[in-house]
Amino acid sequence: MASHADTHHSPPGVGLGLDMRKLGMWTFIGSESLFFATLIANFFIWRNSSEGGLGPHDLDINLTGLGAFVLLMSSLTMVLALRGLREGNTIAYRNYILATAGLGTFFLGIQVYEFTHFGLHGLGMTSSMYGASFFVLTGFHGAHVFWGVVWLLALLIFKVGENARRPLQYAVGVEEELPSGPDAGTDGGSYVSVEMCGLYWHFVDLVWVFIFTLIYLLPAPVVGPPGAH
Amino acid sequence: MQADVRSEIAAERRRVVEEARAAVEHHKKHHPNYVVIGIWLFIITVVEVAVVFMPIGLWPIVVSLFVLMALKALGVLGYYMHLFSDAKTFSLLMGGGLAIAIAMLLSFGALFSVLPGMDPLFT
Repeated sequence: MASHADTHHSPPGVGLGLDMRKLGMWTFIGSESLFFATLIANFFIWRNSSEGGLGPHDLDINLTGLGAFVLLMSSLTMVLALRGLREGNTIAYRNYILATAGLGTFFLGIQVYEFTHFGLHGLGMTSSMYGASFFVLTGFHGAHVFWGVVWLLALLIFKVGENARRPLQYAVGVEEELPSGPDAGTDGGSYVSVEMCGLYWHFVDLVWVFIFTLIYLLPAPVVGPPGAH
Repeated sequence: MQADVRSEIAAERRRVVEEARAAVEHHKKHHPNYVVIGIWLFIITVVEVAVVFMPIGLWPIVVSLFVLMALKALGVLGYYMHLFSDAKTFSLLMGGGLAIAIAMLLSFGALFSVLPGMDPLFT
């Protein structure tokens, strides 16, 4: 058991040898897994109830396949942004963050098009229980993507991470490039702020990996390929 | 005396710089190639879509989709979210959440007879 003295002298924000903010983010992500699992379970319960409304045969795999590709690529640009920040390449960091936000917005556009298309054909949320559970699940995912885009843009607008002091960069003799802002002299804490956004974004992508397979690709009532109904 | 201190400081500084350079090189060598992982994730997605339209029977399709989905999830979690190289506590948190989520999905599947071959408990 840690003594009072031990905890008293721990660096701020650090305990158990872990960054507490990352620990909190991972706890949040773990709990979000349960949230989406509940929505997926709800979808499975109702997925045979599509009479007269939205059903598996209405889903467009090509369109959502494009969405899956776009989100995967946004995960790639996000991790490249973090690498840019870690290596002190602020221009690469900003460009990749912007690309990630752009790809996220493109994905949202695909989702808006899909929802609008269904709505115009009378296949709205109230058209069937299948439709209700489908819109709730994919709508909540879309909302997560939306807030992810807002978070990414906030990183750019407030220049989060760009003032982080990187101990390695400092040691290899580029002190003149070190900033003198409020984050200067910290332990790279604002890098962790960007990393947390990255974790959130990858999680959003991860959820789509599950949704794309379970909702769009998995043959309906263990069923035959989508379109067989 | 002052010169000794200066030379000690200079030696210490050289040592720190060498260690930092070695750490940077180590990082460059051992960090995964994110672009290659991205290409693999893209290929798996294409195979996933292709599998659905293959005339290989229902259960081979279902099993293939689950395996491919798990591979993609592992790629994102392990490499992009750095669970393979980060603290094990984070893996436990995510793994615990996922395990409970899967258990819940199976429970609901059984309760509402979504799982194939089960008699409905609720009609």
